[in-house]
Amino acid sequence: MAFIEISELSKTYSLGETTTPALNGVDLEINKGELVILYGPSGAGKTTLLNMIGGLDIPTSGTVTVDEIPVSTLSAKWLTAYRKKKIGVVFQFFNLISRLNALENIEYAIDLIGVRQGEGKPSFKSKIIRQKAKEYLEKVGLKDRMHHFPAQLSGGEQQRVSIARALAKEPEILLADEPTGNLDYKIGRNVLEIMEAMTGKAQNRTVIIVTHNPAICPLGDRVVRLSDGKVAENYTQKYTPAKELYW
Amino acid sequence: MAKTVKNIYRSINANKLRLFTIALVIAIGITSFNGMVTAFVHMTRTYDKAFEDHNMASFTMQTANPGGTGEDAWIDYVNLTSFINEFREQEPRIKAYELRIVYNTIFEIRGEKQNGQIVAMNTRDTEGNFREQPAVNGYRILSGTPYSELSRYQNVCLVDAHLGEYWKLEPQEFIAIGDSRTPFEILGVIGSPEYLINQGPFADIMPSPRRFGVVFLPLRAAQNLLGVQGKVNEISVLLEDGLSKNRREEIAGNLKDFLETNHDLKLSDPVDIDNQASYWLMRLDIEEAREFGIVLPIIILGMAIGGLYVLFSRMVVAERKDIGVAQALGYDRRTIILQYLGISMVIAIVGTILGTLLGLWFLSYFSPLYVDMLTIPFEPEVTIEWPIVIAGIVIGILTGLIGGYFPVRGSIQPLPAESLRFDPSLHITTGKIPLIERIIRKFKINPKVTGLRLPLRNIFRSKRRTFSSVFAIIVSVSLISMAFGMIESMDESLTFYYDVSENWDLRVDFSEMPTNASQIARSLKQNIDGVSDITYHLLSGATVTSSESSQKKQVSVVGMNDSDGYLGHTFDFHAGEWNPDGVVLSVPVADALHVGLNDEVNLELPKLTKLVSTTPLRAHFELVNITFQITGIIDEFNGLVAFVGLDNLISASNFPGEPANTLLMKIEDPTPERLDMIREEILAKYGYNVRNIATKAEQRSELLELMDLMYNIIYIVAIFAVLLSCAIVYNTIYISLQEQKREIATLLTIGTDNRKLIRNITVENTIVTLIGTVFGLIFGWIMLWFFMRVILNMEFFRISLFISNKTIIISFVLTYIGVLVAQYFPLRKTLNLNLAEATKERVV
Amino acid sequence: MSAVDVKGPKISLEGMVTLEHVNRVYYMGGHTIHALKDISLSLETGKLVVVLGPSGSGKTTLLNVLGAIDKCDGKITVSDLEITRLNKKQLTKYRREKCGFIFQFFNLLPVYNALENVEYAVELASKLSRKETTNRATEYLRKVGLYEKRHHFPSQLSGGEQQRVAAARAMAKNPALLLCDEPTGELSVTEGKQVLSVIQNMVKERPDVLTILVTHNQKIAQIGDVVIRLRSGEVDSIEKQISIPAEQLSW
Repeated sequence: MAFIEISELSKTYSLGETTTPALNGVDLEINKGELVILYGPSGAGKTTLLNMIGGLDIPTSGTVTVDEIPVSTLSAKWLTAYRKKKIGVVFQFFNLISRLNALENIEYAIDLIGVRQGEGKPSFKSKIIRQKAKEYLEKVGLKDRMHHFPAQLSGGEQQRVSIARALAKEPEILLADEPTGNLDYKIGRNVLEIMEAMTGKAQNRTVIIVTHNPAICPLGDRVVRLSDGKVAENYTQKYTPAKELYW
Repeated sequence: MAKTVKNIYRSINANKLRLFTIALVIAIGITSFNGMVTAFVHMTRTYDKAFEDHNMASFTMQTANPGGTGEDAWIDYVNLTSFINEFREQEPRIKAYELRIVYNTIFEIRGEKQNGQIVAMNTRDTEGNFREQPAVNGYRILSGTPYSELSRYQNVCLVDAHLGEYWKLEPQEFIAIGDSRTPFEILGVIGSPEYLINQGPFADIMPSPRRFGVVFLPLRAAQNLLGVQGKVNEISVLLEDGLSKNRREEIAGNLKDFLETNHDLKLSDPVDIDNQASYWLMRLDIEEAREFGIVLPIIILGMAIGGLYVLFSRMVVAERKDIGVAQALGYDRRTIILQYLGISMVIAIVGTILGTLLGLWFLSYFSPLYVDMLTIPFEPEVTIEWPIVIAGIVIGILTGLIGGYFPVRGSIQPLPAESLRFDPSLHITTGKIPLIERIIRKFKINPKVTGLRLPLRNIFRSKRRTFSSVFAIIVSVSLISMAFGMIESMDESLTFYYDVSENWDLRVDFSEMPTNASQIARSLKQNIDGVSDITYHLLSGATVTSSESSQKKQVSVVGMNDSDGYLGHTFDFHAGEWNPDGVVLSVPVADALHVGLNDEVNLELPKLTKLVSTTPLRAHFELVNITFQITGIIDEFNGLVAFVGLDNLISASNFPGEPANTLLMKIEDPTPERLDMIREEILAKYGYNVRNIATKAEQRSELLELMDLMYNIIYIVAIFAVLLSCAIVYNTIYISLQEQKREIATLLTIGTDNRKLIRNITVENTIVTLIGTVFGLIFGWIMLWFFMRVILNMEFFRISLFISNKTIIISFVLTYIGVLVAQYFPLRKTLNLNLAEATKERVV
Repeated sequence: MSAVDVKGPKISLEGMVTLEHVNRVYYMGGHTIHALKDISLSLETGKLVVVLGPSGSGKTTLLNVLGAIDKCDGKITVSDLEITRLNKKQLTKYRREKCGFIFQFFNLLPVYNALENVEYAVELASKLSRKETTNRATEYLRKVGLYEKRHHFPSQLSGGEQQRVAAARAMAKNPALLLCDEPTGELSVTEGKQVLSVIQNMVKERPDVLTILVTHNQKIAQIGDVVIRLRSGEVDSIEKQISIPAEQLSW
C-alpha cells in the first residue's frame, strides 16, 4: 500500500447559492519520501487536493488514506491530532501570525508537540523550545531577524519563517501551497532551495508542492498535473535541483 | 502555553482601544455594583452603630392619651420610677430606662410659626447626679454645648440637626415654644438617631423641617412649660443586647400589664424599635436604594455582556485567518477558545479592577452625599467590604466568560480550510433586497445606486450585522432616555401635582384648629383683595380596610369642602368622579385592597369622645369604623390619600362647629410679589393663629431639596449611559467598517470620491441610529417603568411615567454624536487605505 | 522572439498612453524593493496589451500606477493628461471617468445585484438619466451574456459570471483604459476562457480603448495584440503578435 492513497476524491463548494465542483474524481498514489509537484492552472483544484491530504478540509466523496490513517473519515478531534503530528503547511500568503515575531511564530508551532530528546517524553520547557526554534531559524538563514514581526519582514523572509515553522514540528509530510506564488523569482528559487535542503532525501519526508508555474515542475520526483478537478497527467522523473531552475 | 499568553497579550495590544472600551463598560457595571451596594452596607452599619452607641430604646410606651390633660395623659415621675424599679426586680433584662415627655406643640422661630415636638429628659440620674446624656435615646452634640448642672433651672434647649440646619440656628439664639410662646435659649444643635428621619403629622407626606421640627428640653423646664410639674408621658426602655423582637415585645407587654394591673396606669401599646418611625423609615429607605443598587449594575453588566458578545463575534470573524492557521498547525478548538477566553478574561479583570477602584472612589463621594442629604450628623463608616468586592470580581469575571465564550464557540469552524477560505463581506451579506426597499418601491421611491440605495442595502445586508449595530444604539438611547425620563417623571409628577392637582395659590395652615372655618373663609374673601376662591380642608388619618383583602393601608384623609364649586384640589380621575357622600381613593390604595369603583371600604377614623379644650385642641379619641362607597379612583403624586366630604368627616370625627386645618385660596394674578403682599396682609389681620402661609413654589422646592439624592443618582446613571453607549457604538461601527474594507477600497478605486463615501456611511449610520432610537425609546420606557414601578415602588409617591420630547431628542442627539465620533476614526483609517492592497486582499 | 529594443531612448510604439522613466520603490521589512525600474513605454488604443511576468516581476505594480491606485516617480500621460501630476481629488475623477478595473477577486458589491453593480459605475461616471443608465447597464450585461441573470446577486453567481459582471461594470462607463489584473486567476479554465473572450470582444468593439491585461500565464498571453514581458521590474521584451481567440486557448 502506498504511503498516500487517494481514490475517487470529489469536492464541491457551495458559495452563497452557487456550487462549484473543485475536485472531480481524483485517484492518486504517493510514496513515502517523494517530492511531488501538483501542477495546474488556477481553478484546477490543486489547493483543494492539498487541503484534503493535510486534513484541513473534508471531501464530498471519495477517500484519502495517509500511512493507513483514513484521513477523510476522521472526526474533527482526530483530524486535529493528525494535523498536529503528521503535517506541516506552507501557505502562498505566508499566513504568519502577525502579532508574534519570527521566533515566536516558530515557537507557536513547537509548543504543540514539544521537543523530543532521545527516547523519553517530549519536553515543553520554554527554554528548550526556544532553542529549537532558533535552530530552525538559523537553518532558513534568519537568525539575525528573529525578533522582527511579519510586517517587518520581506515576502521571501516571511516565507522562510513559514517553512521553518512548518518543519520545526518535524512532520512526516510537508505541504506547500504556491510557496513562490507571491515572490520574485530569485527569492522564490531561494525558498525552494531551502525547502529542498531541509527535506532532503535522507530525511525521508514526503513533500507536496502546489504550483501554477511549469518551471517548477522539474524539481519533483513526481509531477501530477491537474485540470478541471481531474488528474490530467501523472509521471515520475529524475528531479532537477532547485538552483538549476529558471523562470 | 507561553505563546498562548503572548498571543493573548499581543492580541489585546492590537485591539487595545476597543477592548478597553468594553473593559470600561464592565468597570462601570462593577463600579455601580460596588459603589451602591457597599454604600448601603455602610449606611446600615453607620446607623446601626449610631443606634447602638446612643442607646436607642428597645421599646417606648406612651400614656394612653399623651396629648391630653387628664389622669391617662400624665404619670408622676417619682411613682413611675419606683414602679419600674419594682418590675426590674423580676425582669433583669432591662438595662436602663428613661422617663420622658414627648409632646407635639408649636414653635415660633424668628417670627415664623411651625409645628414641632418637644422631647424632655431628666438632666440627673436616679441618684440625683448631673449627667450630660440620658441613659436611653442619647444624642450627639454637633455645635454649642450640652446641658449643664444649671440647665434644669433654666429655659434652655437643644435643637435637632434638621431644624437647626434649616433655620441655621446658632447657640444663644432664642426659640419660642408652646402655646405660651415661652422663649428658650438654644444651647446647642444635636443629632439624634431617634430623629434621623422625621415623621411629622400624618397629613404631611414628607415633612420639611420648615413644617415640623424637634427640640430637646430639660425635663423640669418642659414640665413647667406644660404645667405638669413632676409628670412624664413616655417610658423608653433599653434592653440587653441580642434579644429577638418577640422577646422584646414580650417584655414590653409584661411591663405594660404590670403597670396597668398593679398600679392602675393607662398606657398605649408599646412601640418596638423595629417599628420606630426613624428606624423603620431609614431601613426602608436604605432597602429601596439597595435594590436600585443591585438592579442598575445588572442592567449595565447585561449590556456589557451584549457588548462583549457583539465585539467578540465580530472579532473572531476578523481574525478568522489566524484561527485557520492555528487549526492547520494542529491546535484544537479548545485551545483556540481558551485563547479568546483569555482575552475576554483580561478585559473582565481590567474592568473589574478598574470598577472596584472606581467603586471605592465613588463610595467616598456617594456616602457623604447621602449623609448630607439626610442631614445626618453621624460620620459614615467607610471600609472596604471584602465580600462585596469579591462578589463584584466574580460577577465581572462571569460577565467576561459569558460574553467571550459564546460568540467564539459559535464562530470557530470545524475545518481550517473554511476559516482560511472565509470572506467577511460575503459572510455579512444575504444578497436580497431588504423589505423596506421593496416597500418604498411600491411608492415609486427608487433611490439611486450611487446614492441612498447603498446605505439602505448595507444596513440590512445581514441580520447579525444589523442586530449588532442597532443593539448598540438601543443600549445608548434606552439608558439615556431612561435616566432623563426618571428625572422628568419626577418633575412632571410634581409639576402636575402642584399645577393641576393642588388647585390653590396660597395655603394657610393654622396652629390651632379653628371651629369657625367658614366664617374665617368668608371674612378673608371679603377683606382681602384678589382672593377669588377660598375653601378649607379638615385633615385626619385613617386605616383603610376592605373585605376583599387582608391588607390595611394607612392614609391621610382629606375632608373636602365644596365652596361654591371650589374644592382646592383638581382630581385626575382614573375612574369615577367626586361625590361628597363617598370616598375617592388613590390607585395604590385601591390596588392594595383589591377594590374598584362602587366597592365599599372601611375607614377607621379617630372619633372625639371628650373635648377638653378647643384652643388648643385637647381631646380624647376612640377609633370608629365607617363604611364608604368608592366613587372615584385617582392617580396622582400623593399616593396614600383618601378624599371624603367634609361633612362626613366632621360627623364621623364628632368635631364641634366647623373645624379645619387648612385654608386654600385662589388668587387673581398670582405673581410672587402679589402672593407676598397677600401673605403679609393675612398675617397682619389674622396672624394670631396662622402657623404658615405657603405658596406652591415654596412647597415644591422644599420637596425637591429632599429629593436631591435621587437626582444625583440619576445624573450619575446618565453619565454612565453616555460613556457606555459611546464604547459600544464605537466598537460596532469600527468592526462594520473593517468588514467592508475591500468593498470600500473597490468603491474608491472605481472612482467614488471620499465625500460620497463618507456621506453614504454617515447616511447608513444615521438610519441605523434612527431605527435604534425607536427601539431604544421603547426599551428605555420599559426600563423606566421597571425602575419606577417595580424597584422604586414607593407607594407614598405616585410617579407617572413621562419621557419628554426634549429627552427623546437629547437621547438621539447624544447617541448620534457618539456615532459620528465613533465613525470618524475607523473611517479616516479606511479612506487612507492602500487601495492596491485592499482590493486584492485574498479571500476565497 | 522578435523583441523590440526598449533600452534605447526612442520607444517604437506611438499612442495615447506614455510612461517615461517610471520608478516605483517601496520598503518592506527594512528591504528596498524596486518594483518598477525606470520604465518607459508608449501604448496605443484599440489594442489588447498583455503584461506577462512571474510573480514579483512588477506587472501588478505597473497596472496599479496606470490606474492611479499606487504612486510612482516619473511621468505617466493618459490622452494628454499627466496623471502623475494630479492631486488626490483629480485622481479620483481620473479613475472614475477614464479607468475601468477588472480585479482578480471580482470585487463586486455584494449588496447589489448584477445590474445595480453595473449601474453604479455608469451613474458615477456619466450624467445619464436614470433610464439611460439602466439601459446602458442592461446592454452591457447582455454583451457579457448575463442578461438573464441581471437580477442575481454576486452570491448567486459563479466566479466566472461575477467576473463577467465586473467586465461589464468596467466597460459600461466608457473608459479610456481597461485594466485587468489576473482576471482568470480565480477561475477554472472554462470560465476563464469565457471571461477572456468577453474582454477580447470589448477590445474589438472599442478602438478608442486601451486594454491592459496582467497575467503570469504564458498561454493566456496569446490573446494579446502586444505582449510586454516584465522581469524584476524591468521590461524584458515587447512584441506584437497575431492574437488568438480565447475560445481556442487551453491552459
